[in-house]
Amino acid sequence: MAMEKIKRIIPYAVILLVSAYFYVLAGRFGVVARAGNPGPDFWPKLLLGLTMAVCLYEIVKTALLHRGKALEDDAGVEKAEAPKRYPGPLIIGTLMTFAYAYFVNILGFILCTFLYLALFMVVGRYRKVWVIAANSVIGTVLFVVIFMKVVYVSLPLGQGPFQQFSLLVLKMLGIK
Amino acid sequence: MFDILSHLGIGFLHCFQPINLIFLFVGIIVGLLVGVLPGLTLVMGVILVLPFTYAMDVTPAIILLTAMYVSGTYGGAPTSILFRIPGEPIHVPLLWDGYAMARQGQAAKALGWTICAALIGGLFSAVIMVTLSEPVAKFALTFSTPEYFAIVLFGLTSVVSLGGGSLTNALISLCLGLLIASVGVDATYGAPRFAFGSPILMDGIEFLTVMVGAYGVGEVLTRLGEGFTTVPVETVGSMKTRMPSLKETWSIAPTFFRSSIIGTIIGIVPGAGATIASFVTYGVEGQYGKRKAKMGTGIPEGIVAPQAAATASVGGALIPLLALGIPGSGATAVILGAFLLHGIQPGPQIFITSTAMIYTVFASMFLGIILMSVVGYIAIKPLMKILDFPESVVSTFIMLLCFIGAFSIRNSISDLWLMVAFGVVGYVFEKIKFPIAPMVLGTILGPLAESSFMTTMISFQNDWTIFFRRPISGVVMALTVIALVLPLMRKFREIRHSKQAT
Repeated sequence: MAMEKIKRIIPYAVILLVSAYFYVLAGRFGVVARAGNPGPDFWPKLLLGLTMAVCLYEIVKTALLHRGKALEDDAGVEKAEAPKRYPGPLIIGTLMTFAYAYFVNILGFILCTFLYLALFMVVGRYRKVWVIAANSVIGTVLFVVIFMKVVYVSLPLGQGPFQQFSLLVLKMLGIK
Repeated sequence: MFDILSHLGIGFLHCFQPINLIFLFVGIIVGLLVGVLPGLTLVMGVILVLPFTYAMDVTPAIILLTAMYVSGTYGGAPTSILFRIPGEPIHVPLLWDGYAMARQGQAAKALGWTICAALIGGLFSAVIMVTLSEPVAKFALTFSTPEYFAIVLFGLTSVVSLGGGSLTNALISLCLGLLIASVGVDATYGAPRFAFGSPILMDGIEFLTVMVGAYGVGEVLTRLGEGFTTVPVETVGSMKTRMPSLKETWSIAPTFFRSSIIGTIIGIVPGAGATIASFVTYGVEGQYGKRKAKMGTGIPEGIVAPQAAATASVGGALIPLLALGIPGSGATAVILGAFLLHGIQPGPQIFITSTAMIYTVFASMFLGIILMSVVGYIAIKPLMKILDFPESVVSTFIMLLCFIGAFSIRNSISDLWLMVAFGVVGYVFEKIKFPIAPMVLGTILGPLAESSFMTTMISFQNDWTIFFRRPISGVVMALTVIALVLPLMRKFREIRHSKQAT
């Protein structure tokens, strides 16, 4: 039961601490308002103060007022209804998504997108290799044509040899 | 009134231009597909289409998005009725009477009632939208900063109180959204806030980045964590639609009328969208309808009420967006984003500066609703085919659209990073049961809320009572207090009832 309480309190405690840190930062904005007027720190401090008050209320309520029985019952309901979880694919998928943001400037949109499409489908537990390959190639080409030729979005080309590769593909697709 | 009708007539003429008709048709089809797919919500769909509109003129772009918005409120209905899979939360009430009717061997009739309800509810709200928007905009020209602050505050409060879940969680989510909006150079003093020396943060965080991340990436990550396990669809041999006769329709006219009015009003209230409209009208029908005792057993009223209200909410939601420049829902926020990306600021002035464009969009609503009903009637079987696509493949392409959507807002990789980070925030929010909508709406309305508050404070010598002393802002502030107090009273009543029961 104590664990259940702690689990409930953690999100509010984290938000409370982060808000307190930002509250301190807001006091150092450097621009001072004219006398009698609210300054640039007024609005953020108001919001952060409200957030901290609400978090404190939730922490106190959970720690002092919640009856153990209710907590146990809730946990039971959650256990009964919880769908099957796949933490492995979730972690890999999330890391891959961050990796995409990191590598897209280096590998270029074309190569990075092709790899991401193929790998994300695999991580999503899809196993038909030919469908994955076809979707990745056709998807990448389609997106490049639509966004670089029709919508004129300047997608990253990559660096060094990857840039040469991107330019070659673009030339093959007739995109200048 | 004559002016409005003549503008609308010209709007219809513009709407019949091939380019506008094409995008109207595309919007209807894509909206229906988005509605059919259980993993893709209506707001997410509208967000994902946004990057395609960058190279388009503003009129077809807005027509495309509003068409998607309208048809998205219907798209999930057939899957609810036929397969018991609500494509959207909007269509959960259809499971009760729609699916029951289908199980009684009247699936074609149930689908017919849904189309009929969407058509009548949608057209009703479109008429209200055309009639009210311009007068409201003219009235809004008299507004000053206290009125704007009061209206925005009312909108934000409604989002918190109408969310249905924990009030405190919604409040924290809202404050977070408002704080995200305060990042960057402050509009009043020019002071950099929470930018940490980063040039992209100095320019602020775009609300579209937050929306794409929290709704798009967050949802895909949630589904990935569940292993992309969609319930397998049973094969249905015949997927025909049989429209109700005029006599049958007339027999439940009060349900159509009641639900359309409630849907439109709920659409106007910021924060309350199609989902709330469909649940509320189902509840109203269950309490006050002629056949309330039979609700849930497979009667037309149980289908008509939620569907008419859901589609009617679209016209209602567009009124505050166009007349005041204040979006009240996720989908209207994306439409606002499309306006801004094309250099147009919705609000009272838009009826003076872009009359032709606005009335073309209005006309497209009427055409879109009719077209949606026709497509829904004819093409139900091919539309259902999209359910055969593996969810992991569809989700991968959703992720890619999110990447492009975030990147192309400012052509910046930093926005991509921010979007992915907000995706993780969206996922965490989902897990710890914090609602996402208040955060997103806070990010959108934050700048307007802060600037109108600060300007009022500076103009009226720091006198905060001004918000209560001016007639319009005073009334809106009173409504805000009511919106806050009502859910609290409901909660206290529930606690008292449960104590009495034990």
